[in-house]
Amino acid sequence: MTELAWLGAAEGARRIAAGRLTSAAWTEALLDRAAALQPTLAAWITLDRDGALAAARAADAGAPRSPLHGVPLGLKDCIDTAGLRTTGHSRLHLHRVPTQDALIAVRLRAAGAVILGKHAMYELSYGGPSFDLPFPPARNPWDPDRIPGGSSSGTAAAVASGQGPIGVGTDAGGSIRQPAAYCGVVGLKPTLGLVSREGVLPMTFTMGEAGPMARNVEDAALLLDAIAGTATAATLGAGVAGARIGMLRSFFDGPTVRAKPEVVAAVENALSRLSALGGRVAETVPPAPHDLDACGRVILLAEAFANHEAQLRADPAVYGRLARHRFALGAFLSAADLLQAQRRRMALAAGMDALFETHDLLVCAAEVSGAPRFDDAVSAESFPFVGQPSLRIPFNLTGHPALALPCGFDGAGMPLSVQIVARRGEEARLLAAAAALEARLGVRDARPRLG
Amino acid sequence: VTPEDFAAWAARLGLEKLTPEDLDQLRQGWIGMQPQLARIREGLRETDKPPAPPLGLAR
Repeated sequence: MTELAWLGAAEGARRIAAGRLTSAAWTEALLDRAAALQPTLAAWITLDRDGALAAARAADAGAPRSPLHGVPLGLKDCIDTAGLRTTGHSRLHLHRVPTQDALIAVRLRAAGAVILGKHAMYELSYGGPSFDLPFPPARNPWDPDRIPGGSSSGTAAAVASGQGPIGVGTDAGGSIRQPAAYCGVVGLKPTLGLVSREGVLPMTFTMGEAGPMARNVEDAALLLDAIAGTATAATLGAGVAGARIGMLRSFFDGPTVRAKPEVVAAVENALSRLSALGGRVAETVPPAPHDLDACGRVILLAEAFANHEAQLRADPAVYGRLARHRFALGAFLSAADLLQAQRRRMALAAGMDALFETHDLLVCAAEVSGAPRFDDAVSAESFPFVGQPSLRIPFNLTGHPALALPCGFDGAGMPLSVQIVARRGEEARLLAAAAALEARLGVRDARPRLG
Repeated sequence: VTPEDFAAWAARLGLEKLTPEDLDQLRQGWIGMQPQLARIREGLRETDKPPAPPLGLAR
């Protein structure tokens, strides 16, 4: 069972195609593991044992349809699944059973993948690690006393703990990349507009994307290809030789963003590995992190409020405390505030685009530290973002694809992560660079000590 | 903005069902957002800045 828990998507699919493994056996092993770890990690809201086993048996009975044929996976619980409860981890949708699959789920089923169930998350993609909701918060597999990050918290926790090789999260302000960083998995926020939002519970209109989370870059690429129709896995071996790589020092070791020394050292180590692989690394100066963060926050707050306005007026108590506060704050922004933020957004995006005239990739930290503890005050604040700017929102704002890649551990044994950013639409280049770096960092097969 | 003014503002926005604790948190969040809003406006490109008053003929 343990061997199947840590089996990657690509390797598992190859074994299934070769007749050396059945999807049903793999699926059953993961369902058993998920049930066993649920009291500790709470990574799931709904496990669909019957549906998953039926899909696995159907996959075993048919010819391989894709590189993910027979691969079990989970979806963040804001992605609709026909006949399977989709709650957004919220009392608001406690009994909501969609009648149609999100297009993401349609594509995954068409690829022969097996949906194990729905992952826990921060409430409606904007709450926090909360204890006032109908479901408990997911916990970090590397230390269950620490948060897994969010909002795709359960997806990261499940993938990191061998409860599925891959999963689909969403990211409107870092919600794939932060939990990926905290849990030590690969997480990709694709280019704005690359992945369909049809059937995904909305948090924002112009900032968010669904994307892959996986234990390795190859599996992330295969999952992206399945949900987005790209062909990134075919060029993973392209490497980074000759690539012009811009180091965004102000995003991890600057006057306004100062990551923990262990993070700075881990990112610098990653950059030296990229250089050794033939990348041409040079420091470059992006727009100020505070400007990018401020602009992104205003747009996120306004769009989130627009999605929840009627409910906040009718019955705000239906939300947990953190989501209620974060959704409501946008009510106090003016139309002019939003309009000026959008105008500023265009200028900031142009500033980031200008970097890509002389660089092929940008590199910085994905987070400023390892995962904090649940009892850390920041985790319970309604508006922690009025302090240090986010390192991830800038790329939601500008629409560039950005990937969090595990790159080491801090002194407490918590994962650290480097962020790699590419031009819009260049996920193939981004993933190829990540694959080359992953092979040199030596942390790909690190696993938390769990049952 | 005083707590009373903020509560009245919330009521005008139709958010009168929020609790006093909610309003206290939101007021703090709104105050915390002001430097960010100022940063956005002050950083606009010259071509993006709105016209400055007076907009009509001087009286």
